[in-house]
Amino acid sequence: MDNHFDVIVLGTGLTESITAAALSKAGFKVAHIDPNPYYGADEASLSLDELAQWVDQYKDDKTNQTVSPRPRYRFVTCCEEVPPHAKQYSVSLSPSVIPSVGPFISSLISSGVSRYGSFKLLGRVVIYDNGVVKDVPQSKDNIFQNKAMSLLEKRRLMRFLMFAGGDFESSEELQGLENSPFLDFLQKKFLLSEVTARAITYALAYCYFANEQTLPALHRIRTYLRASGRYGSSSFLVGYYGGSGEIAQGFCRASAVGGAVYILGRSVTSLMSRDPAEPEHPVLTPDPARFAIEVDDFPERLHCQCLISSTTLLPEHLRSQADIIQPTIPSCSSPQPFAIARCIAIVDGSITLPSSLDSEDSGNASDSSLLVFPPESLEGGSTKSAVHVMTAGPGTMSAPAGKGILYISMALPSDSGRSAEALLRPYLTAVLALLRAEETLSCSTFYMQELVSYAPTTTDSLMGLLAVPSLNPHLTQGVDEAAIAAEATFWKAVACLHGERKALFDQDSGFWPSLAEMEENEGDDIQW
Amino acid sequence: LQEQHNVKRTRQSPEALAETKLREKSKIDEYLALTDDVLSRKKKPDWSEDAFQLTQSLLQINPEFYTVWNYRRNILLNGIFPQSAPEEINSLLSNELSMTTAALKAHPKVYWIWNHRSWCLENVPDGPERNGIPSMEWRQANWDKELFVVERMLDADARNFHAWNYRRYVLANMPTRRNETSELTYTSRKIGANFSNFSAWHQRSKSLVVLWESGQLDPVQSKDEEFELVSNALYTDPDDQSAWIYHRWLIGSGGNKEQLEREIQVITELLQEQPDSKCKRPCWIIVSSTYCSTGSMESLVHYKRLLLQNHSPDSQALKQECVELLSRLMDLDPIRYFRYRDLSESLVRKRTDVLIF
Repeated sequence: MDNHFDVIVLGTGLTESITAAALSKAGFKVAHIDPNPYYGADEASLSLDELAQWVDQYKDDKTNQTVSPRPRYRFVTCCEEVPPHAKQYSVSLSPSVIPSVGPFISSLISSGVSRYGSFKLLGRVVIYDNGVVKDVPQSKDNIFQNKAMSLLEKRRLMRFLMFAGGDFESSEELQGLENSPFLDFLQKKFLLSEVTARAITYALAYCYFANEQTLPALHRIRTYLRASGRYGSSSFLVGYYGGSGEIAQGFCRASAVGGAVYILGRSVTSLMSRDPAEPEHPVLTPDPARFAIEVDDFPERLHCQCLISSTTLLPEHLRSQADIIQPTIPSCSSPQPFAIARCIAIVDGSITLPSSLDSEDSGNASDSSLLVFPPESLEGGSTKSAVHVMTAGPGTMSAPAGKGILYISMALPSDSGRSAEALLRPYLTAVLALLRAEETLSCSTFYMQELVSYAPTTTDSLMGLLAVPSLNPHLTQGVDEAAIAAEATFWKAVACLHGERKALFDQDSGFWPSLAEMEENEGDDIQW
Repeated sequence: LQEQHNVKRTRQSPEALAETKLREKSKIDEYLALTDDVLSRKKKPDWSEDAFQLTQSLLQINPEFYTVWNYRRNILLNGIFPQSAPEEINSLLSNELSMTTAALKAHPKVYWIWNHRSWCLENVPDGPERNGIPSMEWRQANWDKELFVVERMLDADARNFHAWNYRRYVLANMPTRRNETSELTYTSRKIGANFSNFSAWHQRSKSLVVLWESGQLDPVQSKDEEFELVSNALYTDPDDQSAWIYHRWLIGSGGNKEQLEREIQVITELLQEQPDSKCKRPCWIIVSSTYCSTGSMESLVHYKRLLLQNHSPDSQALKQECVELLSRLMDLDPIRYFRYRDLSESLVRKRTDVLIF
């Protein structure tokens, strides 16, 4: 194998994989490496065996807080026995939904990766209120048919939705209140009841915390309102086989078809740069390639001009020298939480929430639904954070027939000192009660995902070294940020490689070459 | 994913453009030749199988060519049916129906296709014969299928009035009638999915009249439920005309004083919810406007005048309220300025016996 590449990408997380696919399809020579034996890194879709191994890997909690880097996963627990048919499950370490309109879906379609996967519409979105679930009206016909709202409330809610779907930036209602708490804005300016305001804040704008600001929430709502109707009434799609991890794998496949080389399950044993980094770290001289890496069990070094890595896989000395791509969509961004407490629970039986509506479509109802617990909605639960519960089942091939998966996540604004299980157990109990599935919990896994954000480097970064941020854990926004970060990374890589491979790259093609061209090149599809 | 891929097509070179033009020209020439052929055969007249095939080719390109549909029917009547047994006729007509189903998928609003279908259905023979008596089974089967087809069309586009019209025609002609309650339920479903649908409300009004007259539904209670339903639509989207029209139909001539006063109250509250009566955009440019309350105001004027006329002819307060509303309307809806002014003046002149619609 020729071991000189244009780009080496470390980590097969979603953002890295999109970048690798784009670079590979653009004609660059790419090698893509991941120490895990599976694709998707921290957002992988795992079978239950793989999940058990993952738990083992992260289970030993380092109580010594001063260890650096701080472990990404803490308080990891799992049930003793792995349920049967473990391979028929696809659980996601970082569940998410895909907005029907946005940079991510555009990339999925333009790259052709949408053809590798299957998707379906998200089903019901409901909010928890005093022991029962209520549908969150998402569209005009939802509001019309809703039996729980008064006529006046319906008028006010519609007025708000028309406002949020239009050009609110210059509107009178918003002037001076952009940074005010969204909940207050809704109640004061649109005279919405507290119940409705909470539904909008947590189950339409998907805010984490009660004090989140108005403008970003409005931006998100507008995006999702405009996404509604593209494929159906829901604004979101759910990927089969566990979502993001499967999609990351799809991008890797597209990348391989473009000629990229894949190395899974091997760690990088050393990373060297040509330009001086720190005195105690080895430097390559005189090597025309900027970087060289050594991979476990590989006889030869791999060389590249441009090194793209997830921030978690870069050693400290290089991370401080890297150009760290900033992930956010500034207009929509929600505050970066300190950590996300997560739970994955496997249950027997149906995970379809009991419906108050007499829906004729109940036979075809999606078993992917969202249940939102606003702050202070549950005794023993959080007073500051909303909790989002997503269900997944056989409908998305995430579980075998007769089983279902519950994903529970809570964003934490700061270190609470409590374990994920302590925080989430009340919610798990409440959801099981709603499903009447108290007896049928087969397995539950809890973990605390700590998020680190890296500020951009203040000194000049090393040429050709790009660091890609971890996937934003936000349920609805994460994947769009991944697409934006991937595109930014792609262009930086192109700029850095431009001198060497200028002739190859046509600036006018854009982020993805036209499908027609790609179809010609896809004659020899690689076997997986 | 059903969505088409969002791909930028590469710009066409001048050579490619010229090629496209050439291809189009040859298509046009083909079509013109075909038209000439068919029309000259029609003149003879030619009732042959060949002519039959040719009409199909032409109609596939241009289904709006009604002369050719006519010709096709004449070929069937004069050329093919006289030589066919009833089973064959039934089978031929079933074929015609399948062909038009496909045509409707591509052209759901072409009158001539719907027309052709009706003709086919009406010409299905009475058979098959059972013990010497025609069983009407062929007819029943075809009409059942017809209802299924029209429901699929309405699923695809609930606002296609051709389809609604056709639905009424099918329901009226089916050998065994469906019960009216199920039709009411059907309209509920369609309205629930999207209440901005004149045809669905219209169909509902027809179903209700049948149910009231036959005694299956109590008109008083039913009307109250309908007011409840339509208020939800009015409050959800006050700009939607179909709901206002349905509301007006429910009120009718305003004979029920309690109902009239109650609805006036409901609409007044709705009007009070509009934050600012001033139009942000001129009314004649855009129909939908969240700040304009013309739907509410116009209805209020109409209903208050009904109240005046039918129940309280001497109420100065009511007259004054109408005049005020009309003056706001003259401001908000300038293209109807003179109408509002006329109404206002006629009220002041005490001519409440004349209702100008």
